Amino acid sequence: MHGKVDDTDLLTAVGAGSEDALRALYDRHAPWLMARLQHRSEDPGVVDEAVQDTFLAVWKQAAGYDPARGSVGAWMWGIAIRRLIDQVRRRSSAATYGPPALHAVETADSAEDEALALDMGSVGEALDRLSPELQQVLRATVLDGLTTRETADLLDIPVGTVKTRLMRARHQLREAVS
Amino acid sequence: MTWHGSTAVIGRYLHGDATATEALSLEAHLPECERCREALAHRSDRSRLDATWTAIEHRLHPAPAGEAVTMSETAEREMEPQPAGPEPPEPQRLVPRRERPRRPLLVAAAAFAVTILVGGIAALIALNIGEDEVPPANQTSTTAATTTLPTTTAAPTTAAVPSTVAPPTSVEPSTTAAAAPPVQTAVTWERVPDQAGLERSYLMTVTAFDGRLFAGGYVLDDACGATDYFEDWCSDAMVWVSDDGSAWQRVDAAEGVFGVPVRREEIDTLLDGPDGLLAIGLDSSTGLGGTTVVWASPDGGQWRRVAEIEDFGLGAVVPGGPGFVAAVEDPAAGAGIATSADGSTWTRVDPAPFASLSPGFTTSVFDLAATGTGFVAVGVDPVGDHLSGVDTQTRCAAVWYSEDGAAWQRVDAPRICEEEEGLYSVSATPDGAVVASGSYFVWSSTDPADPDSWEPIAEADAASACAPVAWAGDVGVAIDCAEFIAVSDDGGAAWLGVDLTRPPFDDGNLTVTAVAASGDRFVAVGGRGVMFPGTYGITGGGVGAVWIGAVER
Repeated sequence: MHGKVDDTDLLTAVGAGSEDALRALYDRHAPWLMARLQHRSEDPGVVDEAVQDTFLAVWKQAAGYDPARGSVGAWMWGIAIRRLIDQVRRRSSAATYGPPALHAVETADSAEDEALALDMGSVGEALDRLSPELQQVLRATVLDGLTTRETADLLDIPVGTVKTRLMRARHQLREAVS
Repeated sequence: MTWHGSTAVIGRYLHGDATATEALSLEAHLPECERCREALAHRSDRSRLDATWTAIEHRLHPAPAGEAVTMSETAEREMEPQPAGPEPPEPQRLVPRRERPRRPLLVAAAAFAVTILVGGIAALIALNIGEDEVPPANQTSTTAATTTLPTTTAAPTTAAVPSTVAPPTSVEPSTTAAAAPPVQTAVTWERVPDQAGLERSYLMTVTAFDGRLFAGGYVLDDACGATDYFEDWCSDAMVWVSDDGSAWQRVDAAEGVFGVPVRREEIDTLLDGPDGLLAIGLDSSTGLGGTTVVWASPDGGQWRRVAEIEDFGLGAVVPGGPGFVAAVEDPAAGAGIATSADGSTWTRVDPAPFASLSPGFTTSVFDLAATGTGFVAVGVDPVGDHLSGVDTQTRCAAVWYSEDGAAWQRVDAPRICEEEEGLYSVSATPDGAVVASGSYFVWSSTDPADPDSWEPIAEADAASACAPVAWAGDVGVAIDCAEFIAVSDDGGAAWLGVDLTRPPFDDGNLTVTAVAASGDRFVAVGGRGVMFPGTYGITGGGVGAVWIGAVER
């Protein structure tokens, strides 16, 4: 019977030593991981090596994956973002970290885009109006799940500044919906 | 309705043209949505993905010595898959690297490897384990009725490296660290069982004081009723006390000392000072910049709020000098140092030594250490064209020294600058030396005021940004070592790391935040807090955790 192999089963096979399963996971997840990392580093060399490190870590740690703690995709992203931190630290260049500028667009291309705009409402507008520095910290801590200290290392700013920027971002978002 | 990223949104995202709303929404959605991942994959650069996979294969099957082309080397430790199960983590030697290619050379080396290996990938690709296909019938089946899994196959890529490949040349850094003898000491960690006193908590600092252990952090305040970061959650700063490191209880402070209603407070530093314990934290609910809050206790039991600082933040703090010496975090006025006799009032010292050596830039002070005879501060000066002729995009380590904590001098350490270093942490070893860690090297100095005294004693590698933060005799334990908690018994030249992604540390996505020595053992604290969410969203914040590390020689 033909059927799609589940990510979790692929990880099990990776844990048993299957490079083919690792390749299958790579084909599924490397494109979005690479794209997402690229939004955090404009240096393709940094991103490519972080992707390499991620799948080598998957190879090594596959047996440690616990489905109860989240999807395979979320688990892999948790590895990938920290591998990127390793690369940035190692290269001693915070300039390599920094998402490309996020742009405002005036028109919605599809019904789904319109729905997104409606769903987000004023929060979405406020999000788009946040300064790049605040978006950067918000993305690193909330979306990427980094600790304050990891964020500070990554952005090359003090821990207190991370907290301050988080608070500023949060206040702006709250004001937008109040 | 179920939202999916439209083709237009995905296209804008890939080209960096998405709005913040679109980008953040898509990024939160991608890990859970196969449809959107596939849509994105179809628009991705296939040749780049293939080249990256080829490099992965090379690292899975490194060429024999003398033929290897140096790749990233990151995380290249023990590439064999680890068995599942609750067995304790195996200590992993963090091996200093002998060669560290500069970025352009490294990228070139990677590209070279990709080129010579591209033929070898064809065999593996030919196996065609596609996303929508099952593997050949002769491969192993799992218990799932409709799922067939691939099995391990012979590695076809090792033969793809021609024997004529020469190792890269001209990649020697100007600085090298001599190989150190292996670490002879191990620290075996066990997690303290969950207990009532640690529920709904997050521990952020720990210290030994007056024969007992004290931890600081916060307790989620249910009065606010929210556990989502974007909701109006609140927390009470808290101090815990333990006689043995295993049983912890919250101190019985007077009302209003830690539990100020509808605030979001935390304690991230505990210090054994001249007049008792000092706790420093942040109230992040009081305005855009938050408020630094200081508490003091003569005995660890009776606490009072002694300061609320609005003008600047306090980073690393050490006891000594006038009483306490702190790194100032002030993005507006720049880095500096502040001192205090008792924690109640803080005065900034002369900021001149902390000005960037290049106009228009500001330095950062990341850590402080008291050596017994003085104080050392380390950080980064973002522009280094004043030293060594490096370009204006290169950061230099910044080192400052003070005999009394009040009068500081900049110590230009050109060797560190040559290595494009930033220094992230510093500590004083039991023998009086100073150990500082940066991106490439661990540095040591026996006379930190002398720029020429700074020597690299280890290459950072997996111990990147590692520095001993607690010493039990001659054994140092460092955290923040990527995914390791590391041990050194020779002043930081050699390290033995324990993988934080494995038990007993990786128990519910916990974070280790601080470590302290207590006699001949260590106590590490951490947990999972609302400010430190899991990979996505806020799930079950408020898990305080404690680990005991026994030294085994």
